[in-house]
Amino acid sequence: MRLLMICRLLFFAFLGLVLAQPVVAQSTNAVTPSDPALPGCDAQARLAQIQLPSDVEVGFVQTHKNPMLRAAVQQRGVLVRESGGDLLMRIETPRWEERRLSATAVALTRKVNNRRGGGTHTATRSMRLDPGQPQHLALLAMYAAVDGDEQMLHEHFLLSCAEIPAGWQITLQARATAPAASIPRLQLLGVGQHLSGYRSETFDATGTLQQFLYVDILVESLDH
Amino acid sequence: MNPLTTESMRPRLRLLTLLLLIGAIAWLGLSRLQISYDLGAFLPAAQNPTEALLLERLGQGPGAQTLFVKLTVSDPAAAAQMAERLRAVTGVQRVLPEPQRLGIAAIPETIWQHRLLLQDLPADSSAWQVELSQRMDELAFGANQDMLDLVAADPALMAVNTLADAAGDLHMPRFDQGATQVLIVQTSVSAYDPGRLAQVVAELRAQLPSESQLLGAPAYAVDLQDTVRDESTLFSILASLALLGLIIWRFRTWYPVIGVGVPLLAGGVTGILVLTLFYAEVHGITLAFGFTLLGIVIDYPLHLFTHMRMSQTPLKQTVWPVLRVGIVSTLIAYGAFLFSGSQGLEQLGVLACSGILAAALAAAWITQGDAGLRYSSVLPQVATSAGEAAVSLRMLPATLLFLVSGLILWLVPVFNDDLGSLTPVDPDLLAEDARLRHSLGTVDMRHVVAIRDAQLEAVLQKTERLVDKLDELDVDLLGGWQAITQTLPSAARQQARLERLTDPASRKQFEVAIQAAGLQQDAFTTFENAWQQQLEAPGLLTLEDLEQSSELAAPTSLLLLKDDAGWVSVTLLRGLASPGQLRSVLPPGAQLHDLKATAEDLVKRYRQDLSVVLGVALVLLALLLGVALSVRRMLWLLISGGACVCGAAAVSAILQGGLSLFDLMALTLVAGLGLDYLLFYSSPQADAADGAVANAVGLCAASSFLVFGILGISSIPVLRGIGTTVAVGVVLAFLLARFGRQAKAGR
Repeated sequence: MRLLMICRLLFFAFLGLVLAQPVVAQSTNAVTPSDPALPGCDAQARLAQIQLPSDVEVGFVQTHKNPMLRAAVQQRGVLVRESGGDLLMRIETPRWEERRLSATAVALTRKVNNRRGGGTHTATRSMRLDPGQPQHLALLAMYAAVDGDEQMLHEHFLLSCAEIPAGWQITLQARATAPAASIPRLQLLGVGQHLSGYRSETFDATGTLQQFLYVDILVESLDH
Repeated sequence: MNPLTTESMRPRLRLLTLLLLIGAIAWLGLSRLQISYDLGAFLPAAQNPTEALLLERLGQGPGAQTLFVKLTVSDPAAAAQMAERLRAVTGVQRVLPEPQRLGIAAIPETIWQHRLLLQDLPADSSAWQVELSQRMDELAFGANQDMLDLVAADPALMAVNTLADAAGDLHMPRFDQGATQVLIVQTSVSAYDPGRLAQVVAELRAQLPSESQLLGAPAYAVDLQDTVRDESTLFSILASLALLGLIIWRFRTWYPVIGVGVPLLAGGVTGILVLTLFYAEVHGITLAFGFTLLGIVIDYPLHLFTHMRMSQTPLKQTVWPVLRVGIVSTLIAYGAFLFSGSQGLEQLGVLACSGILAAALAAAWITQGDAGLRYSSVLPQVATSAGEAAVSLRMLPATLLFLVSGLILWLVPVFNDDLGSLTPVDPDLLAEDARLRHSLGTVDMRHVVAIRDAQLEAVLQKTERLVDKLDELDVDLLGGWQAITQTLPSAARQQARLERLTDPASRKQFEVAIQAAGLQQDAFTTFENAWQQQLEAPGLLTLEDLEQSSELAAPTSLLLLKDDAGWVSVTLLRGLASPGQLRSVLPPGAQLHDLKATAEDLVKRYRQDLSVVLGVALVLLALLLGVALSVRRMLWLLISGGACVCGAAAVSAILQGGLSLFDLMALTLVAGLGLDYLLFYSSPQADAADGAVANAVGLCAASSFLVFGILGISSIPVLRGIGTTVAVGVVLAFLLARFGRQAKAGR
């Protein structure tokens, strides 16, 4: 009986490890900003260097999770900072989708089945995000980081930079007055002069992670 | 010398009595006067379904009630704050972009309760899986509890999609580009209600910083009202001063100066009183144009006073016989408006005719017992023609002018039925407006698809067939549409959806999809409960449900109309590339209407109807002149009168690039004035009047030319057109009258 209980515990622990794998894999670089042990760095200097070159495709992996999902979901695609100012995220797997991000809105273009005659057509849905609201801040941080818009980031966030083993991280604390609990914790990760990742994490009142979105930029594809 | 000594006490008393009477009439009339601004009163009755649709839709709908605000700020938050302030303005329905309210509380109860009947369920489990995965993607950028609750209760976003369809789903301009932000303001005020519209626009402007720009039809309409009012006031003052100067210069005493104005005043107030007796509301335009037409009555006292000054012959022998014919002729001409087919013009006819009668009586009253006003002439004599050439030769200029102007009118396009060409709005502003509308994907104001049927259910089913067809079209041909069935599906379609909900296989597909999409099994309990509730209480959504909803009543009334013949669904279109191509694929019963072409046809028919009525008036006029005058004199009057009307029309058409409806009114006035001059110059008493005729007609022509010539420099095309047409007509009439004075003959 005791052996059975130990086996069960081990099984659940194993299962937990397996399920948590994508999350752990993507969050190894995440270090809490309040960690005083980390050496500081110059956020301004970092941000001044990280703008993605325009019209160049860069691979990325997105991982997200919310309470409705049993496990984190991963998507892969390419990221393009368009010369017109938009940030285009083209998801290639598991389903084709295009997200066009501006500082205040995201437009999703998807393939939609025709009602008649088979085949598909693309349809675009625009979602506007209210300035100062949590979703807007999350979107704005990513857009401004890829765009290298240091001024926009300063305008909306307090920035703190720290050196981490894998490179550096900038933590963004919203200046907005929205309820603190609903504002995601936002981080930008980088290696040298490149932006390598974006983290958005939302916690509940007890401090438990509720939702997250991680975007890891495949910096090596940029070097090539 | 003062002519008004003891002998002139009687005229002074007469004037005082009349002024008291005018005051009483004015008090009575003005106390009853209710002014309306409903432009619909000036439109003719519809004669076919397309015209009915046009008249129903004119002044309302997304085009006529939408304003664009261009803010010169770069901060989206500042634009959002401004949007919030504009939402507080009375008469403003929506200001886009709206705060994101992705929560159940933001959805109208009617839509939320019936959401499962408003859209089709995803076709199968794989379609459900895609749908659910997309929801999770959308939540990736951080979802608050409201958003999670919404998705849990409506995973296919049926309610949200229905509302987006109903709202037209505009492509909002970017908020983060350059230093300009754009807000879209939708008002609830009809363009037929300029008073309220002006209030809303003024309140909006009061909220906006001075460097911002307000674009859109309602703003232009209000600006136009202001410009018209400002220019009308300025020109009225200038014209009054010019007229006053002219009269003082000619008479050099106060009595005629007052006496000339009193009949006009009497005509105006009497006209208003009569209007209030027949109509509950009098249109503002009726008053404006009515007083323009009444301008002719100034001629009556001018004739009378001039003859009193210059001729010893009694007025009843010299002036009144001619003036009576002139008054009756003008009544016939203006009376044509009584049969114009629109209430606005009918009111114009009532005002003008009653005003002329009252003015004539007033002129007679103040000049009766004219001995008191008579004294030796101080006026310079205008040399009268001593020529005694043959009548045929005298008629030559009029005949030539008639022929030449007739030829011009035959050769050049006479009428311009495009009401848009009358707009004084800056072309750059209109171009900017068009650019904004295009980039925002606002609905096409020109084309709509209409479906009619006696039964509401039949209209809805036909509209669904139309929408199914539109669904199949390439986005390059048609960008989008708004149809009533997006918020009110037919009962048949709702029933079919209900049957699908009842099918256990549908529920199974959903459950399979939850599993396949990697979602928690209990993630959509709220949705499943709603599904069950719909089956237990399967009430269908009805038109009454929408009409009772404060959010949905207005869009519903825009897309579904009811008239005597039954129901009409109006499908609004966006980004239509080829009307012809669309027309070829429409299902039976659906009609693509080109509202611009219909408007032009309507104006054309209106103008033709009015021309027929005026033609009949002309025939009546000829009959009157035939009875009252000799044949030769009547011929000369008709040829000369026709020549000055045709000449004015030709000159005006060339100068303006075509005559508008309003110019027809101006030509009626030209006919009245021209006939007046011609009658006096051709009267047998003219010679006996010792040059009084020439003086009087010269004075009348000079005063009319001054007043309308000033109007001719207006920046408003309609006012400029009227001013130019009448001024040219007056000059031609005067010259022809002078040249042909020896043609007088007969009675």
